[in-house]
Amino acid sequence: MTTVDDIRERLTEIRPPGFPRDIIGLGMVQSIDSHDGAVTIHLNPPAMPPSSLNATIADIRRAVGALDGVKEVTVRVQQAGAAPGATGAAAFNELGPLPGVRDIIAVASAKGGVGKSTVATNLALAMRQRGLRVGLLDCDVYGPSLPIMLGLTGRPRSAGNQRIYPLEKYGLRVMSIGFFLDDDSPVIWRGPLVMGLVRQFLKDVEWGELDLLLIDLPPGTGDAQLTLVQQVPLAGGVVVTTPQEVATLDVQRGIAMFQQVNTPVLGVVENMSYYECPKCGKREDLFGSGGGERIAAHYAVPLLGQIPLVPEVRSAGDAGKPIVIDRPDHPVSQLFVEIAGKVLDAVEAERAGTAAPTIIG
Amino acid sequence: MPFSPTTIKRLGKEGLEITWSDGHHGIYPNRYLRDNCPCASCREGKPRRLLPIVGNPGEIYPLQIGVVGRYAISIQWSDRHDTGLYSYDTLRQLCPCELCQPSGAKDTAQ
Repeated sequence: MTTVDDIRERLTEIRPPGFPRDIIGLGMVQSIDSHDGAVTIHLNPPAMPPSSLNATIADIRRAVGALDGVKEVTVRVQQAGAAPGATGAAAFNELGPLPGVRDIIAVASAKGGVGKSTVATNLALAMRQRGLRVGLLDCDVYGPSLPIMLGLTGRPRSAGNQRIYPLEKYGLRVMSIGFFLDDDSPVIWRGPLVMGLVRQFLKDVEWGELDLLLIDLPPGTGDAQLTLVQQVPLAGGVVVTTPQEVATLDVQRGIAMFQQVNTPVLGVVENMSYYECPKCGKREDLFGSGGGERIAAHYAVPLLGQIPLVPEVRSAGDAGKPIVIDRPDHPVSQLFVEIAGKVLDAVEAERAGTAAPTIIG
Repeated sequence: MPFSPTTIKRLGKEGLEITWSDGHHGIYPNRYLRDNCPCASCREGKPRRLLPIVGNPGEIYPLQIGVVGRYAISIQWSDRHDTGLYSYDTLRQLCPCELCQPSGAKDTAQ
């Protein structure tokens, strides 16, 4: 039976007309899927005349089709440069699954200030501690906070081929718009710029091999979020909220957005859930209680956990050493680890349903 | 989870054959899909399309089909119109088979 490696091997024999290297060497082949003899090959070709591209595709079909046990060959092309004459082809620049990245999870909230980045960062670190290769993408263009939370400074390296390399901290691969901004300049951007940035972050960042990519979405349900859900098939979304009613109203919108685009909501994390008096240990529900539970029940999504408001979470974040790293034994760190486990289980459970349709012909 | 297509097969100039996750399948004539393009400019123009079809109207077919996130496909038609995102829900509702559209409502289906 032919394996993906066999297919890849065979593809190294194919060279597009006029190019010095084979299609594997050119990095044209984004992914190869083989399932019961049905092979799907995703191409991301460099600019070339349509006739060359068609010839290459024909070569691929012939070569792979001749392999033992291959019944059907589908070649899908993602066009990097829009075809000449095509107008408004934005919808065809879909990125598809990111190469090398197994699952993508979005951390969202419809309202700002609920601690979304804190949750995203600590969850990413907790997943990292389980031995997964984790990337964290800060798409919060208006108020990027990952650089501070992770104590990361410096600009990401970029190579001549427009690839940007993420920074690394605590074993996480991290990319944030914050790396490219001066400290005191506010980000005042119009929608198209935001979408362009998100697209570039998805397309041009060299993540390498990742088990999981967590995306810290900007608050709200606007351009950036839509771009994201339209461009990459998310394994699911995690919605962060606080207990009070007003915040939860907004979160409903966040959940509705995911549901509208068929992306499963893996669960709700209630942050700043309560305050435990350090002196007497009495639990105080500062923002009221039960918001997360109500949301979870109403939309039939799990409540993944309730994280109390404790000074250590904030100070650890401000110091660039999130609590999961700073105080791994702290009860809140344990909570993050527990929530991370639930998220991973939910992703596993959803994986069955994430297959994109096969387009034949 | 609502239904989602498992395979979308191009039948050349005829149309698309879509097989669904529940095993249902339907054949969508190109013309019918193009007429039901869900994009804003087409819908606003109903019942007449705002964007005229260029060339021989009988000869409409998809140039390119793309998958959008995990909820829709996009089709670039031979008249270069490409702004419609056909969500899986919409596609399923549009299914022109006898079971889904018993009254033969092909030409007027929502």
